[in-house]
Amino acid sequence: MGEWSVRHRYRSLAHRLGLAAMRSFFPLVTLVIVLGTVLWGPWISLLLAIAFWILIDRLEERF
Amino acid sequence: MGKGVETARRGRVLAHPQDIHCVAFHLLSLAAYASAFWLYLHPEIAGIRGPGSRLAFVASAALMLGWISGINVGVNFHNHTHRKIFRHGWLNRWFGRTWTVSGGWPSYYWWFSHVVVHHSNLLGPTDWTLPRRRADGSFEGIYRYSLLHWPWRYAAHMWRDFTGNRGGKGVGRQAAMELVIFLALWSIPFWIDPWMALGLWVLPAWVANVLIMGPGMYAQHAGCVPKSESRPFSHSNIYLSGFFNLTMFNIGYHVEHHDSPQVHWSDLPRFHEEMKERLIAARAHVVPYGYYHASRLLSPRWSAEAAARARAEFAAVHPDYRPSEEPAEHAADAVLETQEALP
Repeated sequence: MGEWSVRHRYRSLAHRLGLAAMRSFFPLVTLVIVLGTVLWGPWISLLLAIAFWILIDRLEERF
Repeated sequence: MGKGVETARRGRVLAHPQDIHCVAFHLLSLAAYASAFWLYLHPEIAGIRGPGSRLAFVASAALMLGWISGINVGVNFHNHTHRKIFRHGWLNRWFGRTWTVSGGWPSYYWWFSHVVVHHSNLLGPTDWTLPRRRADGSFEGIYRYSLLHWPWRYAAHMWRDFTGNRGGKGVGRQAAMELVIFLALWSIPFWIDPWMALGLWVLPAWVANVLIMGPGMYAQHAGCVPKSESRPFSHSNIYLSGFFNLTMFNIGYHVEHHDSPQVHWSDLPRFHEEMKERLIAARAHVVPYGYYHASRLLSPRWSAEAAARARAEFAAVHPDYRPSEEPAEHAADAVLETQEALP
């Protein structure tokens, strides 16, 4: 019973975190692309931003 | 009511538990702007070593910031205009003012154009938020609408409405006061660095309005007709992409939203299920994708055949929403009849 409760609680927490990440999907991706410039430089960020604009159309068509 | 429950309710800040997602989206958006500003002002950290790489950084950041601002104003703040997310009036007002500023809008102006003009006169002659109609009744093109509406047409219409006190006495004075507050907030990046403000503040606002909110607004009502007894649910289109609605606060359930704007955004999928049979019976236009794909379908094509294919794809009804006694092609024809207003 106790083990089930713990597992249930983790599953519920994971579900909540997943939902929060999806609701804020766009600003999170923006933060990754903008701050990622520090790691990979501005040209890769530009490529990622353009690829993301193209990809979204496909994502919402499929899911 | 128990004393504990009453105390907990009194201490609650949010009007609805799900509104925490609205707050998170807005705060993350502000964090994205702050990050972009910081990197612009510290180019050596971001590997910006000349005009070319600076331009690449500004272009990438402006595209992404504009995108999230378009959603943050056109969807997230939009929900707040119908159902305030906080339980305190001052918090609603001031959070709202910071909510729309990156999108180039005073919050009061967005509320006015959406609630007073659009919702109260949906597809009517005084709903100037929607695309203009050609002589044959069809919507003007999506590019023309998106390029001309913000800020040009909005400014002209709002000037007329505010000076004419549309929406009640005192509207003009309130608009003037809100404009002053907006300009004070909006000018902040210009005080820091005018070039940065142009690239990472004005340009994203343009992207937000012209490339995100404009096409979104167009797709919501493309091919639609004003509400009537015979066509009760043909005033808006319903977009059912799961990914789209999950990441866009269920804005795809647009018929449901216009008919019952007080239904909380998180309850719209359940509300939609309750309405499903009536939507099918009334031949509502329901499609399985979202606004981005719809905008592409509604954009001009190189050839007449490609335009016809795109038009047919947009007009086709989601398979689960075709009246069962009717063959699929008849259902599509029925929707096409109401899609006369398509460009």
